[in-house]
Amino acid sequence: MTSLANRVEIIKLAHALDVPDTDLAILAPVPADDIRTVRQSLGEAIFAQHEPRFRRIAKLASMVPPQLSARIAQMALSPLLGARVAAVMDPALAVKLAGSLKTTYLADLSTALDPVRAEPILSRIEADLIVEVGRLLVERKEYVALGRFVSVIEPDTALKVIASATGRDLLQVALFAEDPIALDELVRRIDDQRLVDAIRAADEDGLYDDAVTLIASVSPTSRARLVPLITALDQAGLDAFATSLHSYDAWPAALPALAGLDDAALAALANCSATLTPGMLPRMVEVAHELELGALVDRLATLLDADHRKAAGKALTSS
Amino acid sequence: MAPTDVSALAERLGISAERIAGLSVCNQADVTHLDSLVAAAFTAEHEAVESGLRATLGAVPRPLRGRAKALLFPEDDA
Repeated sequence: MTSLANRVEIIKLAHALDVPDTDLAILAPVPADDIRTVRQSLGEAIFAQHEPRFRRIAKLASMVPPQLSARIAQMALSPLLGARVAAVMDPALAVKLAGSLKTTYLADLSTALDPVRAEPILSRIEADLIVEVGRLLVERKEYVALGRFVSVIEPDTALKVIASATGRDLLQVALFAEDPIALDELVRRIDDQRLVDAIRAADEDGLYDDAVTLIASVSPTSRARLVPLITALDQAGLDAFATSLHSYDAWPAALPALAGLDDAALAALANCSATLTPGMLPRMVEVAHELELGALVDRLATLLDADHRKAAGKALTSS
Repeated sequence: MAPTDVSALAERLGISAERIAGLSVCNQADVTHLDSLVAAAFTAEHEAVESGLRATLGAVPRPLRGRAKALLFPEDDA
């Protein structure tokens, strides 16, 4: 079974290798940490191939006035080279240069920039410039770049960047967020309506796996906000949500939040068609026991209809 | 294509094989496939950097091009 963490890492590695995710389906049984190590080592190794050259260009850039250097960069340096050189440049000089570069060039460059290497630069660049470039990235749907950047820029700035993002954009940025803590901080500060938009986008575009990934990536507090929004979907949405939760065995992340639902919402999800899938309800109940959510099991016993009680089988009655 | 084991992929990535020991659950053909994708990524980056630098060189005014070339392509002087 592919775990959610594994799924996300496969998507990120596929992006780094510039191949479709399906090309890496072979990595389904590989632990997420190992896939992440391959991706991060790949980034380091391909950078190291030409690092001395990047350093020479950076040194050259420091010998001319920043405005002239910026003009030459935009005219003669591809965004990829610009990103690589920026990563080894003196941060103070890079900040001066950034102030003289066009937003479009900075956005092009951002897609190839390693935000971790560039953190000393990003932390010194004016928030307004980051917001301007970030919004352009949103417009261009550069979700991987945005996901990496929200992890290293100030939460207030990240919120401004995604202010104009659609629900679908938000889901995709969350999917690629490099740092779960930064993602959670962002989700915590996004208002309910924006989250409703994100869940609606998941429903309209069939991105339930992404919605489940988001739920599994954030804190229990944020999950408690997200799960009720999902369970407010129509029957087809509930079926797809339950199927996705089960296929990634995301019950440990979702059940504590499901336990907080009122009876009507819990019954709607528990009695949807998808939960009749063999093994789904028994697994739900098994995980509820493991998490010591006895009250949830008791509620399920009273809320499930006859067919679903039968599908839950002994797991429910043995409580 | 010669089969690749996890150690060879690790060597290409410049890390110890222990760090990606989890890949040993894949069969040899799958590791070889992954290694070929990684090799292709190295090549793509190399080509992008080379062509980018040639374009940069082309934008340098002719009187300064020789010095710029020596700086950007020192191996050509070797």
